[in-house]
Amino acid sequence: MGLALTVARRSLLQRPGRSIFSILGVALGVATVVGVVTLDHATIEGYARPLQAGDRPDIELAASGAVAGSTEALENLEGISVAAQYFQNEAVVTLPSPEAERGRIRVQLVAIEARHAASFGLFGVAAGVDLDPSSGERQVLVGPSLAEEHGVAVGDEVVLSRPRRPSRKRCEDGVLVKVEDGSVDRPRAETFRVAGVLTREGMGRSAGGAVAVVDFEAGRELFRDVDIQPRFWAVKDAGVDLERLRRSLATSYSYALNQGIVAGQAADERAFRTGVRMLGLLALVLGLYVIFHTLSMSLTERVTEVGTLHALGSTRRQIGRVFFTEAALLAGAGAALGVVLGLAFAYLAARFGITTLGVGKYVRGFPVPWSTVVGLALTGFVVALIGSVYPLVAIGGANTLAALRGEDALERSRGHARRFHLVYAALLAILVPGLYVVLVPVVGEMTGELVTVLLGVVGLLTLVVLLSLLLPAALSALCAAVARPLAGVAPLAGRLAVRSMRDAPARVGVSACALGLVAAGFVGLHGMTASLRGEVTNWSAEALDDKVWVKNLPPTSFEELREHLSGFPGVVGVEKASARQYAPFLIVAGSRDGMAGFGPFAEDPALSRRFFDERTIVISRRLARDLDYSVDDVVRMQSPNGQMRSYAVLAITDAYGYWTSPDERMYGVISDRWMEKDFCLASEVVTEVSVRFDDSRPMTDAGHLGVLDAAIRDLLPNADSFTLRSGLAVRAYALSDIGRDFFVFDLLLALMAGLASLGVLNGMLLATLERSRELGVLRALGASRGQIGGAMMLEAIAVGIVGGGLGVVLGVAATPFVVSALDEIAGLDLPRRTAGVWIPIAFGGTVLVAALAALYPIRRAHTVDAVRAVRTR
Amino acid sequence: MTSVLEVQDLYKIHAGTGEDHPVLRGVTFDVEEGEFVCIMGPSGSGKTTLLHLLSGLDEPSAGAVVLGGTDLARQPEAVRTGLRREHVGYVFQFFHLMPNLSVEENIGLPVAIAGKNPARESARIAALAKKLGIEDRLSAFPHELSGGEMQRASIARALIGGQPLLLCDEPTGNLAQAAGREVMEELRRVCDEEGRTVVLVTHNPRDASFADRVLFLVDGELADADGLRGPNIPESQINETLSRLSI
Repeated sequence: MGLALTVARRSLLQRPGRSIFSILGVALGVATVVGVVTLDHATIEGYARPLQAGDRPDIELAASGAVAGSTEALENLEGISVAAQYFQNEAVVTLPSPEAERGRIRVQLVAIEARHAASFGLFGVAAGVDLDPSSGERQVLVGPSLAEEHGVAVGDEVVLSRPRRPSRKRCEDGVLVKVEDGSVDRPRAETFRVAGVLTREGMGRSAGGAVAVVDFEAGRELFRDVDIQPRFWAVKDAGVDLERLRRSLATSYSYALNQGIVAGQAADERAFRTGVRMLGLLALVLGLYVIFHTLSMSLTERVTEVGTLHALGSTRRQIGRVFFTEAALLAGAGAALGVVLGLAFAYLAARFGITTLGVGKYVRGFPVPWSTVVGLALTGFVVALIGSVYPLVAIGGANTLAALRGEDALERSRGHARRFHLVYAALLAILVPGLYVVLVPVVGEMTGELVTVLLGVVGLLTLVVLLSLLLPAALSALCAAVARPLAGVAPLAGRLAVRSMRDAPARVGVSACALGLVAAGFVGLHGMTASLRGEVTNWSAEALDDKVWVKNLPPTSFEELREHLSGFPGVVGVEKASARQYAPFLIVAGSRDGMAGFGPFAEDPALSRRFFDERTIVISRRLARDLDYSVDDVVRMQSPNGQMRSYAVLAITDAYGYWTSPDERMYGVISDRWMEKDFCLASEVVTEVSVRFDDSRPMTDAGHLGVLDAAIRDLLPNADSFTLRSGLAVRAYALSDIGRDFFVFDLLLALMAGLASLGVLNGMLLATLERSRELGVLRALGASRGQIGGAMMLEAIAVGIVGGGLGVVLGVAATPFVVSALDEIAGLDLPRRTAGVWIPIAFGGTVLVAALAALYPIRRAHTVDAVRAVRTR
Repeated sequence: MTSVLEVQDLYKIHAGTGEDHPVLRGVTFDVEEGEFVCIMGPSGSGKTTLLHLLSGLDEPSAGAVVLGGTDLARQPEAVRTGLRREHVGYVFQFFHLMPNLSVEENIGLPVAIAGKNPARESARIAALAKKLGIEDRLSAFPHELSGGEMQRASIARALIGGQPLLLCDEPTGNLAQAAGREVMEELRRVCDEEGRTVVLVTHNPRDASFADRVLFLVDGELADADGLRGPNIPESQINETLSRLSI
């Protein structure tokens, strides 16, 4: 075993405390970010299932009629990378052997522009080749059951035809009527050559494998005499976020987004995931920061070893290799342990329903993004190694003779160290935003504004790290100033603590900043959740507070119920929810009379009239913001028979139309009259309603709910299973949901607090080892354990106070940036709030964490052997 | 006899805040192969500084230290380190054993520094430890040893590399009398039996009595160019010289 490995290995084994805590520092940092990234991956993959029969590409669209739909036009839209025209229908395949029934098989026909078919990855070819639109012949890909059960092979000729069509129906003035045109249906039949057989996955599993895929134009020929609505499949650009895509599509297309791209992409989900990933990044930086200083400080303690090795003939390169090997072993073990811990954390979290989309959401499977995980582990490893450069630089300037004499051997290398700190600070300034960009943008689209805001947040946090590297003396002087008043109470402990902090500015500065970083994260997070709660409260005031939702009614006439309830004191409106339509967002039917007594209709009765008389729509504030709708804009919706209807935006408000199930805040309300006329959805008979009270009295169970319960029983004496839920209960649930979901953040912050305390612990432990002789001499001179331990505890508390103060100031300063970022990512209208009561809690918690971190070093200080300390240099 | 070490008109001046402080002033002497030379002097006379210059750990302000035919004073640090590795075994007053390495690993350290595998030298390490009476302490760590044992381990470390010159800086300064005598007997033995050259700095007349030649360093100068010559210089004669030189 070589010199470097022998000395490094022994150094690690003989100082298990230092080694374990250093490894834990790297490991916790890597584990947190690996855990977060893996959990996020598992969450999204767990929601987006593997390829199944019936799976569709990212987006299905139909042209609205306002534009002539074409693949080229669609591909020119912002946010669309590939598009293809398609349709699906039943078809009949006639096989070469005309043996009665066996020769005619009903299949699902998919006609798609062949040039793009492969881009969607919805099918694979097990035998033969894919469709070739340039071949000049009609080609078909057949499903596996046609090949296996009916012996269809590549190169065979089959005849495809459409089935006879049933009588057509149309929604006319709210009634579905049969279309009689007197013609005799004679389906076309065409011969196709089998180009390939599909694999039994994706589209190949549709209809039990009885599938035929042909080029769009060839399919259209088959259905030439039938009305085929052109539809498109499209794949979105990787970088574009969902809201921008929706805005891009909304004016000209009706569309449906598939679960694969929707999972985790909703505005609030993106915001949440971004926050989780940012915390992961913060943890990684903190871990690297801790290990950097652990390695730096380990040199001071071991400078005599360096002198001895040099005196025995070791070159500085050999000595440097010892430290490098040691750092590599520490960093390697830390990174490896970090990966294991991170994966375990992610696995357990996923098992217990803790995901990056919140708590209580269970996902299937546990896919691991190995390339990202390995990349992060390598980043942790490499930056920790960079931390070992400082010892190498310092050794270059170490005074061997002074080291052998037990004097300050690093005096000459202080200049090097300062330059190195500057270089490291610059590196972090690049690395932190760089890591952010690597880790986070996959969650959403990076607009210029968003990048500015997020870099502002990351920059503020980086500032803390830089502060300790650039101005350690100022920070340690601040800590010493905090401890000085306590010297009056405990003179020896106070003096020792003050001197210790002044002698080790880097250690004290780093510890204070590490704690400050966590406290800032905590205050910033709780500022953000306070803003989210504020947003819910604001929304609730308009949409929830004076309402009660009634569910599970027996089928009841809405008008009868409305008239009955309107007679009760305080009731100002009744809404219905029995008719719903997606076009493509949620549309519910509203009753003019039920809505006239509150909200904008009460303020302006003309709106109420227009709501009934014209094709108008009232849209929610979130829908208006996300899809950029204003009053008088036109919303296009497709009726069941494919006709496009235009509705003018009448008002933007949350006062009407919110329903707790589904919990959707992006919706529109149209009059029940137009819902029936255009969509053939009647809503006269209801099973659930919401009842709006005036705001003259606070809502109570005994008051409003009691009145409503009695009123319903009065009208419907046999109704015994209906339920009432007040808006206040809905609001309380929404608020508790925020707290429950953000538990993930608290969990990550707890891990980071552990990391920061490891930093403090490591620093104090190394200082104890370094000063063991001094401590031994003090013991020999009669200093009690309490005095020595008191000095160390005092130092920790002073560092905690400065770190906590720094964190609180920074967290409060960062909160507006965080909230702005959330606004930008999530498209929410967040009020600006501060963390409130969490600010003193963060401060106190920081001091407590610092004090706890001092316990182990104090215990080690108590074991210092006074006899040995005074016997040897 | 050939000279292993030649010291010519050696000066070492420490730069002070106000004025320069000369530690060594024109020191000149030779050390022959297999000779045991002791340099005596009071605290602050420049003994340890002289040893640092002889080993190439420090650079002289003027003069020459010729080790193995090369003037250390004219060499860059890397070359001086290489010469030290090849020619010098070092024994320190405070032992300077690596605290995290076992006795066996400490003894094998110069082998590892030379780029060889210490495991292949384990027989030699064991034999050396046996000669020095620490064969049963090979797996122990420095903090488990007595002062005498630590210094024996330090001597073994200085001997294992086979370097011809042994520089010893007050090797008994931290030891009890009996342990100190044992260490000196050991140094004498390696000089007599193994033909190593030993340069010892000390202020202990008893230790000096083990040497073939004793030089006296007073205020950075050799007080008596020839010093005392042995073998078997009586301790009383050394004390008498010290008195005469007011040391």
